[in-house]
Amino acid sequence: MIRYTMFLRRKSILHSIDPRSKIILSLFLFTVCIFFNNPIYTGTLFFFLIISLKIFGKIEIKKTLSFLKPMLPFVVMIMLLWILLGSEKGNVIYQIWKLKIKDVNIEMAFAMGFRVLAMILSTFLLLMTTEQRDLVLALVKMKLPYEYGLTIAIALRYVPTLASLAVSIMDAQKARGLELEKGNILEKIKKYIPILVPLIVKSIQLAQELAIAIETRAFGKPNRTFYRDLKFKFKDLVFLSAAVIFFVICLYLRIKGYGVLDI
Amino acid sequence: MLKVENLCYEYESGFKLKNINFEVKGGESIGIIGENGSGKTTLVKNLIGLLRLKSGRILLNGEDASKMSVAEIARTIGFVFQNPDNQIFASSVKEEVSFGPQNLKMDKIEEIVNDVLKKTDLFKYKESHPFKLSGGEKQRLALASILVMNPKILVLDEPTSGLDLRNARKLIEIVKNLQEEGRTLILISHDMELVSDLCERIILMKSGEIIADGGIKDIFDDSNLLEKTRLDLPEIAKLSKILEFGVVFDPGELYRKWRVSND
Ligand SMILES: Nc1ncnc2c1ncn2[C@@H]1O[C@H](COP(=O)(O)OP(=O)(O)O)[C@@H](O)[C@H]1O
Ligand SMILES: [Mg+2]
Repeated sequence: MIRYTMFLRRKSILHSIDPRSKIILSLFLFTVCIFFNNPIYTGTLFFFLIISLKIFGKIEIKKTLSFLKPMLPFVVMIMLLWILLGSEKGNVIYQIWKLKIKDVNIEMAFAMGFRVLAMILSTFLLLMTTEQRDLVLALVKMKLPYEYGLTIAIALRYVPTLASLAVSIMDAQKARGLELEKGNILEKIKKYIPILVPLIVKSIQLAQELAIAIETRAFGKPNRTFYRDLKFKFKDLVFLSAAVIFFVICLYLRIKGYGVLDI
Repeated sequence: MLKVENLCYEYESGFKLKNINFEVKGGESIGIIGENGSGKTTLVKNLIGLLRLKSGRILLNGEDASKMSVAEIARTIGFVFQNPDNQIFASSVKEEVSFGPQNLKMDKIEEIVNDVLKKTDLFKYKESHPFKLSGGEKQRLALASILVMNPKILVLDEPTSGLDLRNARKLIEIVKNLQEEGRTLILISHDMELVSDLCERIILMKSGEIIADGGIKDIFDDSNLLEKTRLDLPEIAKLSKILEFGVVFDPGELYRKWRVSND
């Protein structure tokens, strides 16, 4: 089965924190990933995130890894590109024909691989421990106009519907002999037409139904109230302070030149 | 023709098909029935290779189907999906129906397409836009686009759900003609009237298992089985059972039995 929402229901500190603090933490973590390009630093960050999710979010390491698995081809591609097309500096440690594999590039490949994984994890941390509606409410409370909040909520809400629709369409066309794996790139692209057309037609139908549904609920009238509310509690303050301190330490390290490879 | 041995399958969500065994002979008409979520569609998706069984064997004309692609299996087993909107993409009915034969690289496509359009009473819409067809016509188009690949075994998944009586009757008539041609039919449905109209054998499923496989009258006569699966018999069968004439589907036959018992 495809999973549509990444939220995993647990009783944990991370789950109970105000989503606004988590959004800020997530942004901090994401930025910190960009600070460093030393594989030891980015690697530490990556493992730190996995362990934190386990300890503070009660999310099993196996589960986190299973969420990361689909991203793996992307990460491997980035690593390969670094190994093959990286810097001109450094010592050649292996040569196949004209391809020179250099030590610095191997190092960079790992740094970047871990960096991308850590970046992905810092977003996943938010999505795995926050319910969609709380996330949207948090964005609205952070002064994002309600229309945008609603748009994001709808988009998130329809990911599952469209994903399962896409699977049904693919199944139906495969049963008519469509073989997506065969052929060169051009032929492959052409093979997606029988999948995209029904998907787009159905999406437009859904959007029209949705527009009517929203309008009948007096959308756009001023002074709307919210059914759910968020409360910023003392533990959120503690949590947020910890996040800020972490961010400042990383920023300091970066300014002092730690964790940065010179290539 | 088709033999299933100890088929087991499991979704990630935990639902299992357990030890499925049955055999289908050429020309047979079999109804697969059971409550919603009993695994009927899952079983058929295994048969046509959209899902790959975890253990067991599927033999298609004596050959192991696990080594065949979905497209190869589609030459022998045609699966008509529940929702025709999920597969319509071409700009004319003719083009839509040609999709399967083109994928399978069949000969004389024009000829077979015309032939199938006549059989499904769509010939007059040959050049029409498929999106303009009515619900019943779209359903027949879905049937036509599978039939055109000339599968020996035809599988229909809830073919009349969502159709009005007139369109349902038309579809049934077409299916009956196909049966007369000697085509093997596997019908998934929880409409017992339909099943008793088209099938002489029934495979009854519950929670991913086959709990009965046999002649339709024997199964409809088994009160224990009916109780266990909450099957709703056709009205005439209920009446004939109350009158203690056994299971009867044909009004004429019921009348004769009643006459005889009154003499
Ligand atoms: N893609 C899927 N992933 C996980 N579980 C599924 C999937 N499709 C169906 N199921 C589950 O498998 C069970 C059987 O479904 P299905 O074969 O569609 O039943 P039926 O066709 O008899 O109504 C249901 O409990 C359903 O929730
Ligand atoms: Mg079904």
